[in-house]
Order: sequence, then structure tokens, then C-alpha cells
Amino acid sequence: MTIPTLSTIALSLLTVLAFIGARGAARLVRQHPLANPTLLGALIVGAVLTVMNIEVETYVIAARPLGGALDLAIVALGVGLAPRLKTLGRRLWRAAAALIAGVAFGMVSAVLLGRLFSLPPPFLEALSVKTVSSGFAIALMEATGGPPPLAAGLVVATGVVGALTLPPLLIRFAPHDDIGLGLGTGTAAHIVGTDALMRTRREAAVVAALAMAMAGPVAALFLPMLRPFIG
Amino acid sequence: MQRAIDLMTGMVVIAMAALAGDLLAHLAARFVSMPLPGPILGMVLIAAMCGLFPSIAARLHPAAALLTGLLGAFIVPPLVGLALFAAEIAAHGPALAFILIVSTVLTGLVTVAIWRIIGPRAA
Repeated sequence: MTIPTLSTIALSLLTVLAFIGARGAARLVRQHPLANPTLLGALIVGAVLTVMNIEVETYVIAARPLGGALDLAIVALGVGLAPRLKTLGRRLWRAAAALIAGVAFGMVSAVLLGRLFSLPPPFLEALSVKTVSSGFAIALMEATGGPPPLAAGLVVATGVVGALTLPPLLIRFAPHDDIGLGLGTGTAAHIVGTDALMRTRREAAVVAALAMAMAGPVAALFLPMLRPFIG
Repeated sequence: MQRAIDLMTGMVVIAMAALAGDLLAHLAARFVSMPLPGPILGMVLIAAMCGLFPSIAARLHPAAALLTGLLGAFIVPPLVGLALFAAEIAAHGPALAFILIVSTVLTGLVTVAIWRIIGPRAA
């Protein structure tokens, strides 16, 4: 068992406090999409690292225990899933069809656009899993020989883009469709999108968690078919 | 006091589910060569348990609410870590930004469009 060092404790605490502060700021501006607490938290942490002259690599290594906490938080999302699955009832197959189409579209569009811009293969590999949560992306990259850290970074960046753009867009498109909102945001913006909905539309957030969970196995099935377009 | 006990019990149950998920993930990788992350399998296990025993779900709620409330904080490190790829990302910055924005927004819209298009017949 590794004993956490002072820097691990301090930098993990900094991260959580930065997020809580950012969450408070987001409440002050009535959860404006641009005031995403994860993005604001990252900016606060980045600013503190710069001022304190701490290297990003040192921070990422020191904050590793938060990765374990992320695993527990993902598991905890399952507590609200069962009642939502029961509510979906016969609509589950319709939701599954939308999810499968969304995941396939997300993977194919990212890789084809990457090829269009002549991105190098490591970027294409990382982009191929951008539509699944970072846990899945890392597992898939380790299984296929892709770059896990780059994929994890692009996955989170994708989540931030989706959390900022999709909820306001989808709410305008169908204001009372919580299942559609959760499906679209969870499929395209996985954990960050789910987290954003958790603060504003809890019903939709549970569907988003469900979509995020199911997107991973679907992506694992599609990935081998995309390999010829990546290598 | 009861809330504190539920919180601690919930944390232990969630941690046990995470460990069980990790174990299943290792077995899946070894025997069916399918890369499935442990936390997602743990989430499925917890969901199945709460579905079968709704009274357990109520006891797990305080711990689940605490963890999911801080979920965004736990994503901050990989987001800050993107700075490690600053040079590579800068070299392809505009293309990457375009791809992430266009592909992500269209993925969400396509998912919702299909959900709504097939709705009347399937619902």
C-alpha cells in the first residue's frame, strides 16, 4: 500500500477545492453552460500550478488518487440506473438503437474528419474512442496499442465541448424530452456531460449515465471495424 | 448518526462493487479478449443490485450522492494533463478543435434525432 505524500494530499485537495469553488461560481451565474465547473476547476488548477511553478507532469502524478475516486463515482452512478431502466420499459430498445447509431456516428465521423485533415495515426487512434468515457478509452487503447494519455485527454476535451454545447442545443430542440437530452449528451459527452446534467436536469443525467455505460461495449465492438481506416 | 452509518456502509459497498468490477474486467480481458473497464462493470453490478433490492438503493443514496456530486472534480487532472501534449496539439490545433466540436455536436444531434424519429412506431 502506497502512503500518500504531502504533495499528493495538497494537490488532490487543491483540485477538489478548485472544483467546489468553480461549482459555486457556476451557481452564481445560474449554471451558464460556459461556467462548466470541471473546465473552470482545470483553469484554476492550471493558474495555481503556474504561480507555484509546479510542472503539469508532477501534478498529474500527484493527483492520481483522484483517478481511483473517479472510478468509485462512476460505480456510484449505478445507484440511480435501475429505476430509470424500469421507467424506460419498452422504450429501452428505441434508446438502444439511438445509442448504437450515435456511437457509430461519433467514431466514424471523428476518424474520417481526422483523415481529411491528415492527422497522424496516434491522433486518429485517440479520436476513434473520443465518444466513450475515459475509463473505456484507456482500456481500449491499451488493448489496441493506441496512446492512452492522449486518448484520455481528448475524451475529456470532447466531454467539455459536449457539456458546453449539447444541453442548451437539445433543450431548445426538445425542451421536455429528458430521455432524449440524456441520451444525446451521455452518448456524445459521456462523463462530463453526465456531470453537467447532474446539476441541472437530474432525470436526464441518469439516462446520460446509462448511455455512457452502454457506449463503451458498443465502441469495443465497432473499433475493430475502424482499424483499417486508422493505420 | 444513521446518515453517517449509511454513508460509510454505502462507501464500502460501492468500493466492493468497484473491486468486483475490476475482477470481472480482468476475467473478460483474459477469457473473451474484450477490453471492458472495471468501473463500468461495477456500475452495472450496483445497478443490478439496486434493481433487485430497492431497499439497498435507499441505503446507498448518501454515499452515491457524495461521490457523484464531486465527479466533475475527479475529471480535472486528465483535463489539466492535456497540457502535456501541448506541442502536438498546437501543431494540429485548429483541425482538432474543428473535429471535436463538429463530431461531438453532430453525434449528440444524430442520437436524439434517431430516438425521436423511431419513437412513434416503437413507443
